[in-house]
Amino acid sequence: MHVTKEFKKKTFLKQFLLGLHVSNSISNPISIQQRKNSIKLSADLAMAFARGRTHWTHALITKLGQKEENKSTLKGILGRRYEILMARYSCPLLYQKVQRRKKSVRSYRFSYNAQKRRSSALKGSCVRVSPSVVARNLENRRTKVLKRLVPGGELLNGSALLSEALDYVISLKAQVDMMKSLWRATQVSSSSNVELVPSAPLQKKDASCTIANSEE
Amino acid sequence: MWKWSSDGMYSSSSANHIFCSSEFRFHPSVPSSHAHSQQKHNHKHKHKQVTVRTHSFLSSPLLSSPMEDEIQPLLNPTTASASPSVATSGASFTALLGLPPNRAVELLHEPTFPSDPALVDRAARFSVFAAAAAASSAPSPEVSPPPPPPETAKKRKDGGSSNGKAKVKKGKHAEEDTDGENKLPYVHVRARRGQATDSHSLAERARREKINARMKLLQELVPGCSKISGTALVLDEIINHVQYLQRQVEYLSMRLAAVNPRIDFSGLDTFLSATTMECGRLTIGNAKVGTELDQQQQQPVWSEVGVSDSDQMNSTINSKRPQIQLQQNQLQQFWHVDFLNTQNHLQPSVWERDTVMGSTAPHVQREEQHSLVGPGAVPLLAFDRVNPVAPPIQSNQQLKMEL
Repeated sequence: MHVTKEFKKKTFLKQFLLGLHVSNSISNPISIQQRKNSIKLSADLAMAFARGRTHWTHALITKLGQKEENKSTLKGILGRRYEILMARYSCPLLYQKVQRRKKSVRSYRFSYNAQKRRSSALKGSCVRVSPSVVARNLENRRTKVLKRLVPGGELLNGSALLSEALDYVISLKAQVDMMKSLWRATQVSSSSNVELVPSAPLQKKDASCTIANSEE
Repeated sequence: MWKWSSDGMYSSSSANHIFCSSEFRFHPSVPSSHAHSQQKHNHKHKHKQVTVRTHSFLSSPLLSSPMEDEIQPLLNPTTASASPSVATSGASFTALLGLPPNRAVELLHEPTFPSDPALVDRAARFSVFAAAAAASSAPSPEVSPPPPPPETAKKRKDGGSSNGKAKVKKGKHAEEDTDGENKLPYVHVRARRGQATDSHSLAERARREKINARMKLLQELVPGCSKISGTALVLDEIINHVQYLQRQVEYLSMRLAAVNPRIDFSGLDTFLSATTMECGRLTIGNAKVGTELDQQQQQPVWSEVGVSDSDQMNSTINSKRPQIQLQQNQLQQFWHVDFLNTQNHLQPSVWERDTVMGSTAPHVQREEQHSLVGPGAVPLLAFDRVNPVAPPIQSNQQLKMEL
């Protein structure tokens, strides 16, 4: 892997923690939903930071920054970089996105109608398309879906989109693994908290020894 | 005579070549000197460094470096003095620049390719347009403006004989933003037997091959995809996988949010911070350390992130100190012992070993040099077991400073 997981672990943890702190201090989250959102935000940001500098990371951060509820957290996390990032990446992305959407809608409708017309003129009432066209349509549709899924994918095409998707999948996997291990850690520590009593170190060690052994 | 090795090797290693260049074995018959191999390695390193810096967000190290790596072994035996190399200016993204057939024929008549590194350098300085103009081939103006983004050339199946096949030279300008050490001006591509050799179809073929290579990689990444044939179905699987991963992130974040009412949020945070203190060996306010960690992949900007937040976090931490101490002690104790017990385990404990390292010796000095390898936990075994309890205040102070 071109991104070593060692890097990712440390940076991810650090950023995640940072994000949690900031979101916690800014607005004390009351409901689980809010907490979940703040955790998810921190996790996504941490993943983006851990990956480094790619197209999708920038797009992801921009997207997260555009939502109203995230802005304060992002500001806290990014500090002075926030202004720069937002200014740099918000305008071109939006603009291109809008432009592309218009173009694609127009071209899609045009091509579809033309195709229908052509085929109906030739073959009569039913619309018959060649298998290659069918395959191409399927592929186009799926490419559009992929573009929507991958952050920043709307602007990319073909091989660039695929490579960004590749990168994104790898980072997502890493993020999921990290969160899983975090979850496991909280499980373990929570169970240990129940048992342990703050007392002399030796006694504590014995208690935790037994717990650890039983866990294994 | 310099020869391409078979395509079989290429297709089987397509997975490799994107991530780590294994292209060097493609030139068994090249009379490569030691200098060549050195040059290759130099190229490789330089290109890896360079491609990280290349221009804006459309290029990624992932993309650029494999292209570079793919190209360099092709380059070394293939510098033809007769035809100046075509180097295209443009993005580090590669595109095939098809040369007009006249040029191809001209190249065909060369007996051998001189493998002179000096010539490579000199040839690399020519731009494609100059070369095309010099060759005075009529169709070349059609090809050159507007400059298509340079692509990598894909290797073609040789079939064993180099005669009678059209050879086309592709141009590629490796880096503009290095200090003028331009190498790798062009790549050779041999067209398949009976296939059209005009620039458009070649370019499109190269593009398709690039897309197919990426698809293959994605197929390998997504589980259960390697058996599927056909682009649309594979794309389907990829989309499903991405959606699945995103849903998993949501689910895990929900679970983590649910767990927090039990463990105090801040407690978890300080626990994590204790681990990251040692794991990352990053003092957040320390840009120097940040660069040490980020030098390869990430911008230093990511490391300065925490500077502005130390105040915020100080307040949160100080307000919850008593709770923190208690939990930290408990957690430290537990993790300390847990480490000893789980030494023999493999993957799951890699991360946990990291956390143990952090928690058991939180006040080991942060100036201590720490290797970037995470699971090198053995050296840290020599810590004092009783310590975690003794100066909790000191550790908290250090926490404060760390964060």
